[in-house]
Amino acid sequence: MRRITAELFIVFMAVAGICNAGAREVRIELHLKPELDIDGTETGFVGPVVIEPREGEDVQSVDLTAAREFEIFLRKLLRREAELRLLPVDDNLRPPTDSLATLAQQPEFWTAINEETNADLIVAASIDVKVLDRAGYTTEEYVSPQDGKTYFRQVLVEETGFSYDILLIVVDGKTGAILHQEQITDFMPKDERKLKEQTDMFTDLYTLQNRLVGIFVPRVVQVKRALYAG
Amino acid sequence: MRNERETKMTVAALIMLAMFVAGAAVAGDPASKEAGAEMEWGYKAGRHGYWQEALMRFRHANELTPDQPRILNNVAVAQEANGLYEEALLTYQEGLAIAPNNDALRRNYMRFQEFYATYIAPPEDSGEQGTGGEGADDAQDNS
Repeated sequence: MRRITAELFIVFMAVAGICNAGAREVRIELHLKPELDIDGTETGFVGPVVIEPREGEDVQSVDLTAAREFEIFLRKLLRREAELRLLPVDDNLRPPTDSLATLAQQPEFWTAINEETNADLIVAASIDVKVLDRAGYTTEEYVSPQDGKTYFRQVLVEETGFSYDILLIVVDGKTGAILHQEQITDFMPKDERKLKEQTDMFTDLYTLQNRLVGIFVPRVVQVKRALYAG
Repeated sequence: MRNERETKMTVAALIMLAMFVAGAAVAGDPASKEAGAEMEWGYKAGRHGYWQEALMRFRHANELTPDQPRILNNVAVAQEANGLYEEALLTYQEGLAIAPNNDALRRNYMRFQEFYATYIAPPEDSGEQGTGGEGADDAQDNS
């Protein structure tokens, strides 16, 4: 009796299910507009990439490496993804200050770059990299599977890698006006033993790459959604 | 003997119930039938990537039989696919106000909220964290 009822229940559910066709997962593409309204004919100049000054601390080797690596990464990304016509590096560019926020308030600095290079867009950044190599104990809740009671236990937490804080601005070369400003924070975990290898620091930084590309070109994001078939 | 009779009655009752559910879904007034057909067409169009067509069909279905969570869900998805993110947000909210427990609507809305917060209107001063992390739960960026 029970078996028959169970079988009938399955048949019933199947019939009801067919008639009330449920939602099915579909993959859709969502289009995102770029932050800047550009047509791809513009010329771009990358620089300066400055090291964000920290109070009471001198510039360290990791800062210099990070600034150099970031400039290489930025040029590569803009050339490949943003379809900007990149102008050559100007080794003689010496900004009057290391503070990008201050430079942003000086349109004459940017128009001077435009006069020198004829760049339509100037992409500049300030970068602050911290090496995280710390470990410590933290307390966390723990529910015992034996008696179901909540206990507290000490857990060792290790955090090793590079922490990035980048301010990127895009300036209209002709007017010196700020067209776009983006603050990007990211973290790249690294094995403790590999912390000294300060090369390719910015590769595989998904968030950074994603945000930078999104400033210049449209993007497509694939997502899943449930859709009713009828 | 009695058990056999009980079994037969249970069978009959279940078949009748199944037929009732099936009938209710298939039959109905002409507007419901037409809305059902529009939903089917819209679904097919969407599956083939014709989201403008799908949106038009779903909207028509919604005009024929308003306040149906299933239809509102599909309208919202089609609005998303057409880049009408603000409208999609309102449609999801409208659908959830009618059917707060609709699984598909809730799941879609949660996913949409993640996408919206990540790409369309990120909260002020929120630095994105994590390498290789994707903004929306299942989002895959094809920039």
